Amino acid sequence: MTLERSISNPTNLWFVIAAYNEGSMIMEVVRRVTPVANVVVVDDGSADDTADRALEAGAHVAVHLVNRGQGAALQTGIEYALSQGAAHVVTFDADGQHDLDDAMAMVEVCRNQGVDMVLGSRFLGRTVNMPLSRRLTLKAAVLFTRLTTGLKLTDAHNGLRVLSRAAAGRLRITQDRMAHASEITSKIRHLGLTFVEHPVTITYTEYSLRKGQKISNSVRILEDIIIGSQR
Amino acid sequence: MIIQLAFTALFLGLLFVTAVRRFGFSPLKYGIMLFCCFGMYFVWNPNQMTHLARMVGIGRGADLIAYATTGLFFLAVVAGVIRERRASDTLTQLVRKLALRDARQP
Repeated sequence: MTLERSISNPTNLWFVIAAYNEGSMIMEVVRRVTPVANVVVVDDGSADDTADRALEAGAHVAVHLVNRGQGAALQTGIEYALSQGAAHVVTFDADGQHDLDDAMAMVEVCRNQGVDMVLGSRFLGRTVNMPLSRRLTLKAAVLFTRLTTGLKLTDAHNGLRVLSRAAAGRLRITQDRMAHASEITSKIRHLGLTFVEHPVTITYTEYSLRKGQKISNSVRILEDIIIGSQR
Repeated sequence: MIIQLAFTALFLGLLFVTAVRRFGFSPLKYGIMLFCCFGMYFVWNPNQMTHLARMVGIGRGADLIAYATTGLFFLAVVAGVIRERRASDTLTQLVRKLALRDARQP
């Protein structure tokens, strides 16, 4: 029996995908997921046909009329999934970096161990074609998270996460842009959420590297964290 | 004398407006009010400004004014950034409400 089929009630499982100008990729990603779970794609103010293609592929679609950032889009998707009765919510990238089997294994872990969250870790698992600069930046983020939150994570900025319904309801992401990853780890600590890390495979393609985070964004993330704490 | 009266009126006006206006970032409010009070005093006692500057290790009163103005400018920039972030939060909430209200199902 495959992991997908072992999920007893897929109607309560929701994948949240934040997408910005992913028209060329979103159908493929959504079509991979829809046989085993519900999908909500939050089109974050795309200029292309991301929303139409996601809908055509079988996803629920919520559209941000103005681009607000990945953190804002994830929060919108989580709220939508909860309103539809989600028991578990998976945050999943739109650029095809994440592996569906990893996500389903993480859902199993979340259900069987009864933890609030399961966090994907590419450093417990493996990476394909990850540039050295990206590896160093992510390691620095791990150190930063350890110093600021005390959480001993091996991968602090992995977008593949599974949240129980209770955790998804309590999390409330307020960092609209990329600092949401740091905010999530900080809230895990402050809300006392239970979690485990799970090894995952992240595949870097030319497309995902072009779409993904630049090192220069680290400065913006730091600024968001500092200013965000003053709001 | 005319300049001193004009600056006093200016500082008084700014003090009044700052005191009655709501500020999102209170350090800026108190910074401006302090600046106005010191300003009014030193307009009429300019020698005291140089005396104070020397006490804190700065050569001239004019330099002290420049530093104080720079500090106030920095506070104003921080206040502006925080105000912009609050407006951004409001926009996000509005955008989210519309997105959830108009979500489409397959």
